Amino acid sequence: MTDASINASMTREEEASLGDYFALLKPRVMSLVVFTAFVGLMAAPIGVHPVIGFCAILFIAIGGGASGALNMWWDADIDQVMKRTKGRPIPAGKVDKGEALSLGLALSGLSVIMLALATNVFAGAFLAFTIFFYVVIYTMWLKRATPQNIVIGGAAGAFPPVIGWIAATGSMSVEPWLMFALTFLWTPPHFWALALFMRNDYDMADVPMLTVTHGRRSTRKHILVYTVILAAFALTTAFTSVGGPIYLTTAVVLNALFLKGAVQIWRRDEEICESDNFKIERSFFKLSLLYLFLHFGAILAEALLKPYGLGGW
Amino acid sequence: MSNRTIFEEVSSDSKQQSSPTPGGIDRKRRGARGAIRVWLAVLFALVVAMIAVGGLTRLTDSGLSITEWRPVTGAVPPMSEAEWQAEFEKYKQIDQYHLMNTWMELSDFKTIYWWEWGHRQLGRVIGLIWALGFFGFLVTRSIPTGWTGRLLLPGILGGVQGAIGWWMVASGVTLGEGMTSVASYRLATHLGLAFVILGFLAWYMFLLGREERDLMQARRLKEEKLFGMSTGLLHFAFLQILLGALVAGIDAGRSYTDWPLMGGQIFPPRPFMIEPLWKNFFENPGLVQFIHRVAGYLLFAFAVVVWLRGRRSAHKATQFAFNAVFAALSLQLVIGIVTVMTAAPVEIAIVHQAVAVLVWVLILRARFLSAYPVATSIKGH
Repeated sequence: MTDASINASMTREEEASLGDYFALLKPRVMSLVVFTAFVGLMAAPIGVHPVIGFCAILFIAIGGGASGALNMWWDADIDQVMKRTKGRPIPAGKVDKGEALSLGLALSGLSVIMLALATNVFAGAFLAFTIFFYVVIYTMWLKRATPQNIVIGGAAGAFPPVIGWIAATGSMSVEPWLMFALTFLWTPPHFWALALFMRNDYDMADVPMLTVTHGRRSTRKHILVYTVILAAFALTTAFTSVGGPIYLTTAVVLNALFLKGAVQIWRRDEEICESDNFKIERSFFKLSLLYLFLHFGAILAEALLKPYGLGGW
Repeated sequence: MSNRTIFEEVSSDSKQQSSPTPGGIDRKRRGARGAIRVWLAVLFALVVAMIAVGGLTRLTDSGLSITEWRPVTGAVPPMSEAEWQAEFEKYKQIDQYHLMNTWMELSDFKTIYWWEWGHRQLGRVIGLIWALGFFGFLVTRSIPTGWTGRLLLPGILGGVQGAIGWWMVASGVTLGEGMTSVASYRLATHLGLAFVILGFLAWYMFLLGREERDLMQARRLKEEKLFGMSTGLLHFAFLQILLGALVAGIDAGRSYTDWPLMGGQIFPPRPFMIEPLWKNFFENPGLVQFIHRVAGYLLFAFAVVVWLRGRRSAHKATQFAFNAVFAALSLQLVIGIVTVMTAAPVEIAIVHQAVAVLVWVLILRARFLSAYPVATSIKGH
């Protein structure tokens, strides 16, 4: 038996499928990226041709996926330890670390160039900055260095509506930054609520999550503070060109519920939490998923109804 | 009859059996593999240059400046002012001059003449180098067993290519038919054959780069699925190259300069304006460019699938070969878009053609390594 034939027989036991490569792109995170970027594009005052819009969203999605692949490449060591991430393609042994790096770099370069060609150079440059921010600033540097890691991560995940807006208009204004603020300020309460009932995972991985470094009491206070600031920004957005009566109604109801949940979490006693298996924290986490989707959904509804004189102020 | 031991020699004068010596495969006429490979590499480089010069001849609209086919005597360019004037007068007899270039002075004509003459002269040089090499190796009996036919093939195809070149030019040196350039079908045939010749040269170089015994061992490790996929990719790329030639032949790359739309629409306006209908697929600039674009997207999508499969090869060299294909195709996609968005200026259009050559050779390389993987040592595993 030659070296080569031995080598050929030593390939991975479980061959990676296309699905495994797709999983590298973090499709669930990508779906949020696609949705918020689409809302940013649609809410912009300048309409774009559906094909250009489709291309813009596609390349933003690929850029987001590329970030995910590079994140998995860098975080392979901690993904192996955490229960939540053990099934990812690299720790599961289906995809090699080098492959994730290759795929991430290839798709990053391609998505940036193609977005610049399909829309404008500003949008392409902003996508490049977003990928750099998420991969280098967040994943490689601050994620393991500060308990405020999730805040920085939230910034990276909040850029897509801004990119969508720039792709349509080629310029900046206050509205996309308010949409940015929605995701940016929503991310910490969303993830800290998760961390409250998943603390052991982050402990084992040695990631300085707020629950690990400052304890649960401090985390609860942080959730409340961020929720109050988030509510202020969410309601402010209602009175801009992307807002309107539909958005205002949605924002008032959701922020009232979100604030109520944050106050309940802040007041909670640890022993009660343990006894009811973090019931309030879990329901707050579920509400947070709905919260962002409905806010952006309301902005989208306003944009779609505007041509018929029904949306906006 | 005396008793013998079982292992005793039956005959006392039987010769001692010689032990087998290794390298039986290579004891067949090995030939001058290295020298032939160098010769093929020179031909390969010249054919690449030929494709580039041919592309520039087309892009500068120089292809019809020499109105006659003189394979031998044409090697000597006009030397005197009178000879130049005579050539210019012949050019003045064709439609391209009357419909496009009546403004030309002799100095302008010389520019386009040198492009076409250079292209033809390079063809003669290639023919000469092939003939000298082939017959030289043949006379000195340096050609390895089974390689004579293979090495004859590029020469035959080169001869056919010269004839097709004239057949192509003949379609444009007309008067009263309104032809200002060569027929795009013939241009596509000419370019297609150039890529076929280049492909054979590259493949033979890959084969000669390895010993026969090494190839026989490697063949046992052939990755059938990957080989099949890379063959499909090769054919698809060839089709796209032919479509690119059709685009170049009718200047379709300059007709719609927006992307991803065409004239602000998904489908170009008036895609079936030419009668009969089928002619639109070859002669309607909007439709031809649209087909080239869509084929490009499909080729790229298929390349991604092949690349992901190639990444899973057990052999590092094969993985790297497929990475190179994907990188080159990504680059080609971007350059293609830039080409249409800038209305195909000569310098960008020629880069697009040059990268097509690169993609073609890299696909062949990946296909070769699927068929004959390079053994990876277990030590480094």
